[in-house]
Amino acid sequence: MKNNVKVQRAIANLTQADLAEKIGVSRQTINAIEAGKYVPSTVLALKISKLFEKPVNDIFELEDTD
Amino acid sequence: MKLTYLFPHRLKLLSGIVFCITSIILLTALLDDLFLFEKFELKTTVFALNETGIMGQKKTFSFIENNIIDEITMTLFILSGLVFAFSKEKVEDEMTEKVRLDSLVWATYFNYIAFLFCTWFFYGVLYLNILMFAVFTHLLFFVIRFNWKMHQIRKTNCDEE
Repeated sequence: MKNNVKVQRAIANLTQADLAEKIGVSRQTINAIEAGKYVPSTVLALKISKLFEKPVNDIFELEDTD
Repeated sequence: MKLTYLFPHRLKLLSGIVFCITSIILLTALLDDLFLFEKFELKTTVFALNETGIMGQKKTFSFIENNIIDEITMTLFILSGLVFAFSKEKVEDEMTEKVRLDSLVWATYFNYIAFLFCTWFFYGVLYLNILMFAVFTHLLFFVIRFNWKMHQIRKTNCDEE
């Protein structure tokens, strides 16, 4: 699954640590999500989408391999 | 989704210390054919559901004399091991849960594959020792794998802008 959390974070002018704190995870988790190493749960994806005020589909996208 | 069956993070350090000490004692004792436990005597009366002697004589539902040093060490090992293995991380989130689950699966596979290997290649009295090892290596492998993975994740450099 692809995501553009890093871009959204840049638009919102947030650091990884800021974002992590706002949605209640560790900074490493944000890092892993951005690097595509970790696929967040639905709850976490919805939290991110709510924070950036964008639909989940605009942030996360399925890949052919999914 | 929050897991409720994890211990608080503050217990991690203390249980970690006890776990390390008891692991070393148990490993040394097993490699030394349990002679280590015979050096320290703490004889007491215990209740035995069953005791089978070396010559095959059996006692059931009776009070017997026993050196309880090994029982104490094993109890401390299991309790501290469980608490250390399953206490929360400083920042506990869903990725930690995933690493924990992965490590548990990995440790189970690794332990049984190693055990299977030993079953076919070690015979005699040594095999009994390996049986005893297998009892607590599962927890040991899990603890090593989980903490190693968490350490790797923690040291990943952030690309902050």
